[in-house]
Amino acid sequence: MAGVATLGASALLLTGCGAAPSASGPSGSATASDYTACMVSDSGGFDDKSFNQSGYEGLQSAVKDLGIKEKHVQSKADTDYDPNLRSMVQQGCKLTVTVGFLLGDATKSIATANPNSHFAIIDYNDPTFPKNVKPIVYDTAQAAFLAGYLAAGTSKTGKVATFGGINIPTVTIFMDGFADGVKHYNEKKGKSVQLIGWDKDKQDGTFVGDFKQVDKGKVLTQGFLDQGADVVLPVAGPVGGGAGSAILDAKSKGKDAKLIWVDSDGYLTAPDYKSVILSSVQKTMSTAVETVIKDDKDGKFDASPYIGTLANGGVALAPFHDLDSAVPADLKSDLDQLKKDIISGTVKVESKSSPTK
Amino acid sequence: MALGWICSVLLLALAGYACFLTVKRRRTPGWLGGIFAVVFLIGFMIWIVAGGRDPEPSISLGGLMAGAVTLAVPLVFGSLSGVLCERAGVVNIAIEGQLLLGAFSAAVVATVTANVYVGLISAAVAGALVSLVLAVVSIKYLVNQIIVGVVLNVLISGLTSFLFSTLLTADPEHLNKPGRLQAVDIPFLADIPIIGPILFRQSLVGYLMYVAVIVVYVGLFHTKWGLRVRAVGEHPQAADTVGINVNRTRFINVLMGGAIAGIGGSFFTLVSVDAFSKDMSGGRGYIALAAMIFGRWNPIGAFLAALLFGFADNLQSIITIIGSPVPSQFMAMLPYALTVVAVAGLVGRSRPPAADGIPYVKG
Amino acid sequence: MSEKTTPEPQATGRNSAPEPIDTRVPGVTTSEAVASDVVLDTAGGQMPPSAVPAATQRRGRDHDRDGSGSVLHQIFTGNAMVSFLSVLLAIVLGGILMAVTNPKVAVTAGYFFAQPGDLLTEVIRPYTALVQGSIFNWAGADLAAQLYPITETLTVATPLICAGLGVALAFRAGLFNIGAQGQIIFGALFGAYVGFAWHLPIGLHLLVVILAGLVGGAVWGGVVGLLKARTGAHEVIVTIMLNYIANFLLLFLLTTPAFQRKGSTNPISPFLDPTALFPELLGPQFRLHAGFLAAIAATAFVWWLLNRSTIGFEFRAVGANPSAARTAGINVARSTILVMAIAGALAGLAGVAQVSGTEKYLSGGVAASIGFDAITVALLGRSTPWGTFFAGLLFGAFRAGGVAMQAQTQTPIDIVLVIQSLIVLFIAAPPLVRAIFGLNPRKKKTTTSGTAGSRTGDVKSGAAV
Repeated sequence: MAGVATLGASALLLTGCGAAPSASGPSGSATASDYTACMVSDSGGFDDKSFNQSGYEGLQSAVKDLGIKEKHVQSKADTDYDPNLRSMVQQGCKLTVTVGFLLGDATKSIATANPNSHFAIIDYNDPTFPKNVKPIVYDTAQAAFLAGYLAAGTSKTGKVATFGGINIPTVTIFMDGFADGVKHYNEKKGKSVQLIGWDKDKQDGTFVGDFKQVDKGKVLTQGFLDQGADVVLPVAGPVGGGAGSAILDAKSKGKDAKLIWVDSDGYLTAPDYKSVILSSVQKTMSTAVETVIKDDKDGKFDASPYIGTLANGGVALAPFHDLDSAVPADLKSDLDQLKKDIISGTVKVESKSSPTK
Repeated sequence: MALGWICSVLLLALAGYACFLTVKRRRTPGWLGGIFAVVFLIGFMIWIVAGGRDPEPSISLGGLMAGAVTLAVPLVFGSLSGVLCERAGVVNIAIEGQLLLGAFSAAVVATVTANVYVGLISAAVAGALVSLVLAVVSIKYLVNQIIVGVVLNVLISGLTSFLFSTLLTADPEHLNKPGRLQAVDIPFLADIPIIGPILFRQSLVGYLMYVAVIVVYVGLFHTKWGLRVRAVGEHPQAADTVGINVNRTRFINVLMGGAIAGIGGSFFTLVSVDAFSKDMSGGRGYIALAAMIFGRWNPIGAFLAALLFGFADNLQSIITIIGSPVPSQFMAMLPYALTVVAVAGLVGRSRPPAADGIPYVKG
Repeated sequence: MSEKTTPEPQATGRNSAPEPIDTRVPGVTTSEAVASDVVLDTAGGQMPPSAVPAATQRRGRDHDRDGSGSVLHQIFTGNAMVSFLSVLLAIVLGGILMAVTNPKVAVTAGYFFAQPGDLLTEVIRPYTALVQGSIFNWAGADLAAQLYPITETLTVATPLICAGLGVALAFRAGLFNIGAQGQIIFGALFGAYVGFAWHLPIGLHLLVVILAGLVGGAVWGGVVGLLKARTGAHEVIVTIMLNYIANFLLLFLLTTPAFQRKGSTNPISPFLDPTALFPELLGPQFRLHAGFLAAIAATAFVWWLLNRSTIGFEFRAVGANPSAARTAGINVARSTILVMAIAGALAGLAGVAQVSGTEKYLSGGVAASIGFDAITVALLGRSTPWGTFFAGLLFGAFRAGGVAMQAQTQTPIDIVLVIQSLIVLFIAAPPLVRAIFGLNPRKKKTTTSGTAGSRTGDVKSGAAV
């Protein structure tokens, strides 16, 4: 121990002899701005490989592109939301972005008490919000619908699967859309591809029970594969990694199985699994967050809800990347047409969990 | 459905027998609990599946068992850690922390050294490190062992989450990409239908689990060393009188326990999934504690209890996959409820080592 | 470790150390009790000993030869130094941890010898924020803003104190109650439902809500006592399992329309009626509510229960030695059930404080990690009512301060867990702290234990970094 300490001390001594930076002078590239944008996560934290993370990436790119300052706080538990939001206002945040419906009440009450600060909340809309709160919501079911169609079209076994972290609307909206996409494929093609892990009518299915037990996600996915499913859509934040791991294992044993990622383009955000990622159901939260921050900085804040849809690109089906060849050309054109139909309203996508317009 | 009725009758018979034994103030044998649990599960499964929406449900027994074993591995290691510590008279609540730090250390060290085996060893070291704190503070400084255990769990959770947020997420490529301990087939044995692939197509950690169970069992019950350990756990004064160094024995056992739990933690990051994530042990240390008590402080018992828990856990997942009439949240309760039923109904009064939790001060 | 680990000489002072509360069975001296524990715990088998044998808890206190009692007691008796050093040590270790992981510090360390102040500033800043967020904010614009932090500390401490009392009470009766989490959930569940689904007149409504919460917690705690008393099921297993079951039950109920808001499918309950809420103590700009007064009342109640009532005496007797208690004519089974029910009710009160005071609605995370923090709070308070109270305040301060620290300096709040647990560890082991600082006024350290002590220090910092 002493040896290590000595070593550390001498290392410190050596490195400690550098020169201090002369005076202060931000070698500023972007014009330094006093504008501060802030973000409060829900209890998943900013490294949840899900909506907190995407939102945070938006904040970071805003810092880079707009030269603003940022502050962010993680909530460790549901009880942290109110104090965290208060502290952000106290820190002089011009705009505070909150993530998730759980922060809805806290955002509303703090926004009401601080009419001069602006707020935005991801994944939650409340018609009674005051005029300084901008809801950012997504009709994720639309993109998940395409994913369901894609999964059904690429499945060789005639079985596809999905599971969630906890049975809550922001999770089940994916599963609803996915289920309808599979159903639509069956109706259109006269097939009978089966979806396991979610029953839309009963609004119940397979859940891990939390967003932490990654290994349990893996065992679950193995269960799906044993049941004959060959495309899996995990809607469980970091637990999706367990699904990826199981599919990689299956692939190394010669089984052909694929993964559909959620929230971000998994090919880029979960590169470990890129060889099995067929596509992703994307919510382009980082773009939305950056836009809201930019608008607010330019004095153009408005409280009308932003609803991400296929039409405005707020939700999308990610590219197929490496698995492009696994998707037949006619399926691709079907998907293009389907996307147009959903945008035009010819094909209706409905979920109990869809945002209220 | 006929099988379902048979199960019900069997259950009643077993329960009746257990009641009879209890009334006669005779000890209910351990196997009775095991049989009850298994029959209960089968009966429950039949009932659930019959009500499912899949007209021809197909549960792959192999898959069910394999998943059960996978879920049980960290529990087995954790409960063995508990057995080793408590048999020597030290209550080990810190299993959760040992698993978590083991997982963390395995991920980071394996990534940095680009060698999963070094990662595995470091997991054992990390678990032992947690134990070292437990041992020093509770054995040497006589602090209540439960306080230390509970506090260590909080400490490790905070520490790993903090380092994960500050360091690991910033550079996962160089800190959190440990690689995988591949499964190795044991020739011939792995080809046995159903149980072969489950038992003999494991990673190194899986085989270590079998070894650990056997070694701990034989060690504790069939060696001089084990006799000494148990003496220390049951009656330290007497052990001291015959010349056994009580506190040293405890110290060593606690360290070994920590190393074992640490290896169990490495299962999360080196075998099961490919990276560390926050609080990924998800309370399994506490389940391991329960498995140890359920298994009556016996390595084999703890092993079986952990397996039973893993089985129930995987069973409920698979039932929700097939579709069950019961809401998924109630299915998720199954493993926990089953444990309560088993412990209350059948295991009943379990007795820890007599000096468990009591610091030894030479009188 | 040395070949022979000799007990610290202070240990022999155990019998003479003043105990604020004597938990021993009358007529049985400590040494006899210890001896009989060992024998009696194994004998009989009528009432299974707890995994945490009663002797542990009593001895745990006894062994603390630095004057047992509450944290407060400790701080204001001759051990102020050790407590202070404990906090200091934890803060230094936490500071090192923050320093090595903070990229800014890495930069300032680069020119440490040119401008040492920069490094220190980077490390001290988070702690300043911690104090500003938990006690007094000198940067606040007006008095209200300056005092806000301390009210926040009290608010956050309220459920910790209540649930901590539940854990402490069970502890005193020789039961290790890990189930506060589930009991809080049940208390919150019952309280919240009555709060939003029933509409009663002001005054009465809050009383009914509190009562419902107490009943909810008592039921979930009482089940444990019942199973333990009737079947001998180990309370540690049962409480762990019941936590999970309560959690899943809550998640399920929140998917049912009865527990959801109108027109919403989010798992979040309607707001409780205004009549069902604890009144705000200092006006709407502060979150502090009358639940804190309830926590004080609960602390007083537990004190009275343990020290002045017959039942409390029975609890302590059972905790000290179940077999002796039975011989003395105490109904051990009844005591077990009763103590778990009361412990559950106290945790249930914590649940009510959450739904009816702080959060005002029920959600899946209503219990946060309060039930587990409560264990540490109770242990730090040495299972005495007022000790638990002040330990709860300390933890509340950390939690409240951690929020401000994170907001101001972007330090992840997890560091608070680290510092918190280090403090508890050090405060619980005064000889360890003395050894680390090379203080040992009462004896000349033998070389062996001296090295062991400093080795521990190394290990700690090694573990922390």
